[in-house]
Amino acid sequence: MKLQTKVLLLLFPLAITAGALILILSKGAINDVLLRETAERGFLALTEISPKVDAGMRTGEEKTLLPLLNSAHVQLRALYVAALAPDGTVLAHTNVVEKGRIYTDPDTRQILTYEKPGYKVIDSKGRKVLDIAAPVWAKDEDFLLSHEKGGKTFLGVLRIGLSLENVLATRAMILRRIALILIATGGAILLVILLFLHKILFPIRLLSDSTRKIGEGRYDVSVPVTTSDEIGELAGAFNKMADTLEKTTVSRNKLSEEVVERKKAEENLLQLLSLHHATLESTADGILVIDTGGKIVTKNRKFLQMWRIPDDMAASEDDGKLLAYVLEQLTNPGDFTAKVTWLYTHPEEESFDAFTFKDGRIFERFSLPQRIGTRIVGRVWNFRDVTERRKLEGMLLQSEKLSAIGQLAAGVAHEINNPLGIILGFAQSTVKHLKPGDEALALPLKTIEREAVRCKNLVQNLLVFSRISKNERFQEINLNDAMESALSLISAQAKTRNVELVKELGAGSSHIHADKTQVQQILINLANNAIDAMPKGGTLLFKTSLSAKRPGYVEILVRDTGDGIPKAMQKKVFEPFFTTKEVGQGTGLGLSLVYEIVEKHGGSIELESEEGKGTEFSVHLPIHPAAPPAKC
Amino acid sequence: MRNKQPWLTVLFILLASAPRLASGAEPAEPAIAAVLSSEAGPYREALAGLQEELGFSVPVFSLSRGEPKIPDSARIVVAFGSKAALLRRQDRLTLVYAMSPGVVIKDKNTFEVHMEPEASVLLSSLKKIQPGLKKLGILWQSPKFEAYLLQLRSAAAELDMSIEDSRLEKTAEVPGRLRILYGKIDAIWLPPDPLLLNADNLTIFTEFSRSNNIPFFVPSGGLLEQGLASVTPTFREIGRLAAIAARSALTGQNQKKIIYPTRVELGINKAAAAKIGLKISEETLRQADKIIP
Repeated sequence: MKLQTKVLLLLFPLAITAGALILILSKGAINDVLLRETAERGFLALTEISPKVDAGMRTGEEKTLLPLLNSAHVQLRALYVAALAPDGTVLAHTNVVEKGRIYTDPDTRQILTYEKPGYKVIDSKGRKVLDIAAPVWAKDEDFLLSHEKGGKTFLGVLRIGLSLENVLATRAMILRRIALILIATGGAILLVILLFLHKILFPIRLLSDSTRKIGEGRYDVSVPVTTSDEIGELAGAFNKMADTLEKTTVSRNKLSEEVVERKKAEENLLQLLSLHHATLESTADGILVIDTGGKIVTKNRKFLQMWRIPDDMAASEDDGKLLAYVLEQLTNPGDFTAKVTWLYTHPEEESFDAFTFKDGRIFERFSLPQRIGTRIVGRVWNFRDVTERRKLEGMLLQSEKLSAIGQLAAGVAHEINNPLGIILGFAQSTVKHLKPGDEALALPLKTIEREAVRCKNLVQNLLVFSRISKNERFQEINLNDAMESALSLISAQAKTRNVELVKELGAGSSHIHADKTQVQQILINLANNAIDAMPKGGTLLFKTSLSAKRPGYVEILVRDTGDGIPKAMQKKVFEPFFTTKEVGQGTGLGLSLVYEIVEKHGGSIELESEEGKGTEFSVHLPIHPAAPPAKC
Repeated sequence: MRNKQPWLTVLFILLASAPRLASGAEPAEPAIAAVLSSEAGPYREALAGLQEELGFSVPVFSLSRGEPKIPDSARIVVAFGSKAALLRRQDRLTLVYAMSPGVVIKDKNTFEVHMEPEASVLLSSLKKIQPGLKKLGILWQSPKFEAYLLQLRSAAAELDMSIEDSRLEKTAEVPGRLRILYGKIDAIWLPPDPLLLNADNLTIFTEFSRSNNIPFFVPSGGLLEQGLASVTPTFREIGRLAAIAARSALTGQNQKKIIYPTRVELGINKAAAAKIGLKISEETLRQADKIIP
């Protein structure tokens, strides 16, 4: 609500109240004055006729009194004029029919007690009447009169009724005029006040408008300083403030643009963060970011998984505890720590190395500094589990080595096969032609024959080894049937060597796509090796099942309870010509042949052995044909 | 405003006849002469009516200017006012007198124009003003009024009315007689009785009417302020009737000795009517010649 309205709302009721009060007070005062003035006229008239009514009042003669009453009646334009006897009897009345009546009403009884003129406002026939009365006293003593008051003879009362219509009309007229004057005066005062307020409020309105403009972001406003009073000072201060605001405040549009840009930047940042987070979490490597103080800034889940850090430890954010836990897992924590320390002292350096865990895992570690511009704010550590890769690399190397040896051996075997056949033929022919007494020749010739046969067998094995890829016949076979067939070949040998054969053939692993002969070759070779490893007898287990480790593969498990293979030799057992058997007892091609066949089938073979307890070969073969290797 | 026009006419006539009044004679042997009791306005108005009706000017004599010298050629004297009527005259002269309410001249060559309207005209007019009027109260004192009272009673009977009259011996009896009539009458009419008509009585009548809500009919339009209504002939009409009587007498035609005016002027005091609570119809108000609002 505007101040002007408030002032109006305050002053208007006040003015109305004051006006009403003045009117009420004026009404009473005017009433008194008018009544008194009217009564005075009545008193005057009564005073005039009073001395003349003496005789009439004494005798009660109407004809004497009535002309006097009529004269007063006409003079005053009275409603009535009457002469009353002391007992209220109407001696004469301008309304002649009243003559002789006796008034006993309270008003009459009251005026009959008047000792001096008096008046009273009464209601007469619904009209307000000023009832004026004056006692009449005898001019001379009359012994016949008995109505005495205070030593004077009371003849009665002259009574005049004057209509108050004119008085009331006059009063109303005066009150109307006073009201008009009050309204006019009040209106003029209000107008002056409003004009004064308008003059005072005008600069304030300007200030208000300008303040609103500033609120809308328009700072190029100023208000005129028209006075030197407090409002003028306020206007000056406002202008100064607006000027300062204009110079120091960024406009709303600019601010809006900035907000939009910031929102965009924030959006981009969120996008980047999201990308960063997604990248961080989707990588196969463990990532750890630390600041220049060595405190962990962030890490991905893979890092925690790789280092097998429990959730509660990760949540604790206790970097010292975390480091201790990490170091505990390593085979050489000193090197690890030394490298880290060195990088702290050389923050700009990048590094790459690898370290091993006590459980055999191998991690590669790559580290480079984190920069914002040119400033280094931390370091990113990337850990990659290369255990499998290293293993595969080893296997690949082995495979290549075996392949090279195999080819070499096959070439050699092919070349020496014919000369060897000739040697064996002549040796066997010569031995057949020995006669008794040729004992001196028999031993060398038979030795040649025997060794030639052994060489022939070796060459045959080598030739078999070299022909594997040439004679493959892949087809749907029943693995369990192939195993039964192979085991029947070695069961006699096992029995003589006191080895118990145990079969656990899984039902779901019966059909695979493979070369049956080669699969049987795998089983026979592994069985021979195992039987050889148990010179004192033992248990040889054959087990087929669907692979739990590699879906889509069957697993053939061959486990013996022999002496086991020393750890140092475990890597060499698949190499051609490697054997632990005595010379002449083995060719060293059995396991390498197994390895070659498994490779050709797209499978894998693993070895676990513990000295004194036994050895376990685990062969994985694909159930369905493996995809042909990509041609380079 | 209506009553101003006659006065203008009177003024015009007076101005026109001023030289003749000064000389006191009609140049060409006038047969009719007029005598006024005074120079009072009503007489002048009646004179104007006389001359207007006659169509010519007559010698006019005012007693306020001395003894009139009626010309020898005059055969008829028209007297306006009691003094003029009672003036001694030659026997050869025929007298037509008016505006002399208390005067009774019993002579064969005498004709009187009364102030009272013809009785039926009066009562029917009062009835128009106050349709509920049944009993009309009348106080009278002058013996001359007795004849008119008879006519009034007769006319009242025809109009289903009655007259409650009371003859006074003395004027002082008015209050007492009014008290007697109070409660018996519907209205009161004050006749143009010179014995009764004075200021005191008029006040008494007026107050009696106003205080007791009894319509008061006054005998003259000039007194209308004191009463409710007036049903009276104008002075001009009286003059006109006097002229007719004089002309008839001059030509020897038979005519009534007493002439009552039938053309009346109706005056109504609306304020008085309102005070006593009497509702006057709009039609009556439209017919009124004079209205006090």
